[in-house]
Amino acid sequence: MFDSVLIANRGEIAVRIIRTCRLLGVKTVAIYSDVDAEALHVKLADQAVRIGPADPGDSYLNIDKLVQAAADAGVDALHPGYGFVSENWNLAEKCRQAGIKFVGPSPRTLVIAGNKVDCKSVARRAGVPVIDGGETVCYTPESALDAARELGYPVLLKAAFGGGGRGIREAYDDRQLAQGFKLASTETRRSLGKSGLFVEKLVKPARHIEVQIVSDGRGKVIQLGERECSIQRRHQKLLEMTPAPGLDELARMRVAGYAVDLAKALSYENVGTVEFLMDKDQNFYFIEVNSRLQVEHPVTEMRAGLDLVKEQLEIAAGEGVDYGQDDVELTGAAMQCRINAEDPAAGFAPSSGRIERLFFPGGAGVRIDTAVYPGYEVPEYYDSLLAKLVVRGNDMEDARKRMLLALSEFEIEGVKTTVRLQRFILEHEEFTGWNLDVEFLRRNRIVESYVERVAADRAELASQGAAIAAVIMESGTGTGPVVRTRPAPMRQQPVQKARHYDAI
Amino acid sequence: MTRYELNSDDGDFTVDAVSAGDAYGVTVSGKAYRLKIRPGSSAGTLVAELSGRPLIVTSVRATQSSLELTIGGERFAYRRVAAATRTVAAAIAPTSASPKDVIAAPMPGKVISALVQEGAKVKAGDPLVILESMKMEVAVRADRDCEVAEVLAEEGAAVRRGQGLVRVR
Repeated sequence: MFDSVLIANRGEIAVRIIRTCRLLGVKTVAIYSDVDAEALHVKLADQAVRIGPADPGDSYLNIDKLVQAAADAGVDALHPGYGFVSENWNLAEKCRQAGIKFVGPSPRTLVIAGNKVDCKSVARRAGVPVIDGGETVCYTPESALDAARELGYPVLLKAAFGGGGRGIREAYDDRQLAQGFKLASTETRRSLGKSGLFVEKLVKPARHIEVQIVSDGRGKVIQLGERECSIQRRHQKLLEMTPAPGLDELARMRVAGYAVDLAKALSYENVGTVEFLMDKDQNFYFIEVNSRLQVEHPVTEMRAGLDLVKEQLEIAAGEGVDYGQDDVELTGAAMQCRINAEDPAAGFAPSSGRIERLFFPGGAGVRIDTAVYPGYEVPEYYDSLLAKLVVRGNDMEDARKRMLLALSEFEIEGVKTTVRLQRFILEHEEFTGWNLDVEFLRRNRIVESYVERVAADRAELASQGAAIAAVIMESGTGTGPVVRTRPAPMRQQPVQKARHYDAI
Repeated sequence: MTRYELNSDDGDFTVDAVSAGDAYGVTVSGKAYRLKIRPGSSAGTLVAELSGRPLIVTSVRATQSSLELTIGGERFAYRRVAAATRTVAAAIAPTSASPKDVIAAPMPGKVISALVQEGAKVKAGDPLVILESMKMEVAVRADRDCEVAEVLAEEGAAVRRGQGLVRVR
């Protein structure tokens, strides 16, 4: 095993990786940007290195700075986490040149996996079913139109490089395609720094099913079952679970087999995820490989009883995988809700700011992966994931009930979150009937009815708040019982103007 | 009994409060409550017993004529508008009385692009500026039909919450 590892990431995933390193006795080096100096991953690591200003381009995305920090710290390996440059072949290559082991696949595998068109042809050759189309990268609207007409509408436009759900558009005719191409190209260039789209047949209705694999790069590939991730908004996953409800046993075996075949064809070394769309007849179509640890990996850990970060480190350290497929036992069911700093009632507007009040749920089978704490300032520079709430149950209905309870206990003030929206989803009859597909939110008008309910609840609270406000004002007049609070903390700004009620 | 005329972004409320032993009798929006308030366990918090049901009220902040509080993660701000029987409360003109002539950033972030130029006529709901915050793109829109007087947002610049982006007339 390595003596020391640099974690080239931040937030909950940096904390998650540090925890396993500490368990294994591996020394950890954290990196941080200026706004992250007080972050939890910095506190938990053995050592922390400032990497640059808040802007990710000058810090967490800057490959040269990352490799330099690792070289200066003298670490054996670099763990990239997810997001940022975790799937960037250039980072893997520069680590190799600097004599630092990159905890992930080889640069060559990353190049292939990072190009969806190339990866699709590898899949096709390995006998893994793919969606029709998408054989060339289109850089002009004309070439995309040709491709779409040849396939026949409806089609899907997708960014050829990178992902994260950016740069995806549906088109049902030439006009929509031309418009979609323009929008998707702009979005792709802006968020991924690289244009190029491809056109493929639209699969609809579709469920998003993905398979977790552990692959040692020497031909041994283990699959840890599938995850159902269809609850998405604008291609961003909100809720994930394993196993996928309603899947035939044969379909389950088939999709796992495809993932293993593709990992072998890629000589894949690392844990990874092979993503598929599943149509209503339970046919699978390969979409892409995520060559890294995924946000939703804890649901698989809960069910498999494995630590996927430990698997990553052991594979990277050349210790291989010392168990076989038959040794893997997947029991019960697990579910994860992403708690994002977003306001679902305001078009999912990002909500940065200070966490004023925080209470995490607990109890049997509840796990929270997070990097926030009371008083933590959620920065505006990075993604909105605040916490991952994960529960384990005997079956999926049991997990759903436990998740509802956990969400009802979850308290967070200071930023808007997706906690209540998640409760709303979990209570919906289409959800309890496991009638899931990637259009779930839109089809069931979940966000719209959520907004209505939130408004009604807020109106009720506002009226009660007015009663409380009036009584507090009235108590100041000296005629009735006096209302006091302890003095509010100093940081609350208008101190000069404010009259705080004194401590008793 | 004291009558409180409270204005808030959630509407206007007429609250009648009367002291009744260790509690108050309160009427608001046609509903009557027995309300008992005691200090909470941490700074700036209260426990309001609303007809027997405890509500945790946090981040209580008061001035002579206004009060802010948080219940269940929702922030409310009330202004007392008319002087009632006993307390002298300065009436504060509601901020919504005059239309804003500066469209401000609703959140901190980075200016990705300004979509309008000086002199442009825009309609309510038209996007004016694209901000990036928490890796998401957010369109800042016109709140009414108006004309752009000046674009204050500079592409690539970081902006704070409430910072003016576009001046309109």
